Amino acid sequence: MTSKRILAVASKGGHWRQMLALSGAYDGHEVRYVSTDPSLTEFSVSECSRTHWWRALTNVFQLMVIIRQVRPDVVVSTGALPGLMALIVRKLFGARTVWIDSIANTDRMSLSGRLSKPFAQLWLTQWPEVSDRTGATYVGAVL
Amino acid sequence: MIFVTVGTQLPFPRLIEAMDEIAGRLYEPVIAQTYEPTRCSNMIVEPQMNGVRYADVLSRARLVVAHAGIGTIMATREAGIPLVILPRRADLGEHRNDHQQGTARQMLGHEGITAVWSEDKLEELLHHSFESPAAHSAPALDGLVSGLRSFIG
Repeated sequence: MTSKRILAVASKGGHWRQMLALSGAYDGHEVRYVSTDPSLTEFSVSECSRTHWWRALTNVFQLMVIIRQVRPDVVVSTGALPGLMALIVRKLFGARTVWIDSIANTDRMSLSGRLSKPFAQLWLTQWPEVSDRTGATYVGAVL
Repeated sequence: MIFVTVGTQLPFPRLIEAMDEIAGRLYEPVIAQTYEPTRCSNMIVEPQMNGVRYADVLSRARLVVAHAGIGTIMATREAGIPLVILPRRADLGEHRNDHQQGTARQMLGHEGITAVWSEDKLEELLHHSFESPAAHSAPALDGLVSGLRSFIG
């Protein structure tokens, strides 16, 4: 197994907790974390959501700086919008990408999740019912 | 001590007002993380908590009363603290959509979690003693971790 560089991007709160629960997947690899709360991680980006969508543009610049420094082989996000931006930015430079839709989305993919589909090689939901309905892959869930 | 928390994204005055009223009739302290500065008569209010403070308050709680947020659900489960959730309602402007209703429904039957759909149901619950959720294996988490692991390669 070759050690890969992984960039894990998650907004603070529930997205961040779900990301931490997945840390066992990165054993033997080098993982760097990005969140929207500077007290949590090495790298942070501005909070953004659909109500502050223009901050996503700020995210793009912040993520370009981080990605240029880390040069990740794989980008993983559990949401929300900043994570989507990370997938888009890195996909454009050819890294492999994973979207894990929040377990909070019990009935359908989140908006960021739906938008992430073309940019995610591995496009995951945490609910079998959502998988049936959307074609997202289900392999398990954090709870 | 009872810990009331509404998470990091939005205020939830329906829960906070109900719990403040109930706290006046309880014989134990109630600490509330309210998101926004809020005047309460019977609860100790801290609008925002950093991760360290949050973990500290959580570890000392007998019970957590909260919105149906995933962060709260995961944190209480990891800490082994029983949880009562009142999901937010989009029709009352409490969230962008009703995903917390779905989360609350999915949590029915999870050990250590009780969901209520009305703040009127909270008070009688709080007089009960709750069993702490035991640490147990999580087959769904194992599946997700190994799926992610094999993709990374």
